[in-house]
Amino acid sequence: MVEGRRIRAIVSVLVVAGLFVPVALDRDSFPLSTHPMYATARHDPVERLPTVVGVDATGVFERLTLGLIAATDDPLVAQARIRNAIAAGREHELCAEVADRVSNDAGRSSVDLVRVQIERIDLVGFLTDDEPPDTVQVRAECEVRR
Amino acid sequence: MTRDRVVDWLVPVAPAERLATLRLAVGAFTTVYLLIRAPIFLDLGDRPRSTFSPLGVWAWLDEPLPAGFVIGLFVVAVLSSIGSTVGVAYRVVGPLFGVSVLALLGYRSSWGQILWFEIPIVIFALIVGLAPAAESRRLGRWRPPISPPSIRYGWPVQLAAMAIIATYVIAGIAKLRYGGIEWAAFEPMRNQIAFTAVRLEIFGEPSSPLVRPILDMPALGSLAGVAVIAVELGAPLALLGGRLRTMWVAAVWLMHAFIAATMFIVFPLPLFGVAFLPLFDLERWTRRNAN
Repeated sequence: MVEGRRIRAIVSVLVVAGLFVPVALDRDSFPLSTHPMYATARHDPVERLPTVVGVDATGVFERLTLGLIAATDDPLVAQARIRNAIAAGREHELCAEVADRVSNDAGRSSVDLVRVQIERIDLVGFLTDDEPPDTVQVRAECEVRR
Repeated sequence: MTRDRVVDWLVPVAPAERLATLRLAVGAFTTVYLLIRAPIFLDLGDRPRSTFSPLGVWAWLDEPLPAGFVIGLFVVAVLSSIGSTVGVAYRVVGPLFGVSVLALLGYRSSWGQILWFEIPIVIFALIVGLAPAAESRRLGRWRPPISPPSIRYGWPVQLAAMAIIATYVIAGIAKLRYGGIEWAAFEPMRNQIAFTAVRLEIFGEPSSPLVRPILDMPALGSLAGVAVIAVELGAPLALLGGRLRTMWVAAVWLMHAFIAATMFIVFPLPLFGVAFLPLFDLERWTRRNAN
């Protein structure tokens, strides 16, 4: 009984210590993680945010949805997918995927083009004063085929 | 504290109902969670190979798993979650529950974005899945068992409590490490809240109606930042039990509620209270209900 208790105590210490291993190594994984969610200090209210938009025949753009952009309901996942695609030079591949989803969405029949772009936005101005993005850098553009 | 007292604290004696109640809650939560998010999990088999970035238990993979395997894994995870909830054939179902949840959620995070809020689900599933958690409160055997209180039941619950506390401490360390103490200042906090709102809006989704008013409340922003750091780094106080535990649980729940209300970021396990269950003598609740 005493021996079993001590062994279990050692296992507990090892398990908890194991949870801290990623902290020591500064390496994030799953399920052993550094839990870095939203851990950076955002001193600058201006951010470069990647997104995907639709454009109609007159050149007016409209926001798509998480489902159309990345087949997800999680903005973290969508953001990572666009960022990773741009970083790997696969933005045209991503553009084609989104265009394919848009083509199957009856509610988006006015969308002719899809653009993968990076918008430079003053976060606070965007929300409080409806400020548009400072700059928009188009990284890929593709046609919606129907 | 002497070594024996430390060992007694790490490996406490508890009745079978405490562990069984935790099993029931974790199993039910996981079942509902997996079913609600079924479309996301089932879609994993159709994702483009180029976005695959395996990690954790899947780090050895060179290519994504076949779609049929992913669907099978999802089905096993759901069925074993249900089996774990009702507590049937637990010597087989329990380990299957822990391992399949680890495999499924780990695979989901292998597509370019780790979903940190799923980590406590995996930790709890592994602990209750590998423990003798179905010797009470199971289908056909709800009443307390004949076996007396034991470290077999107390140890896994205490381990789950320490593990969940550790995740909060690690999250607090991350904020100080990557953001510094100024992470908690008003402007970074305001920008953080604004960032999550703008990100939603550029993805065509509505942001919280609370965001815009909050951006003009510097005192609230600073208070929230300091409170988050204090709650996360002060998490071990909850292991002392009593009022400190209850106050910490209330504070951390409020933190998650604030995050959910203002940033639409939901950490389901703590928000629904399941994350905090190992910190309480659960048998008291179920005995009261049983009586």
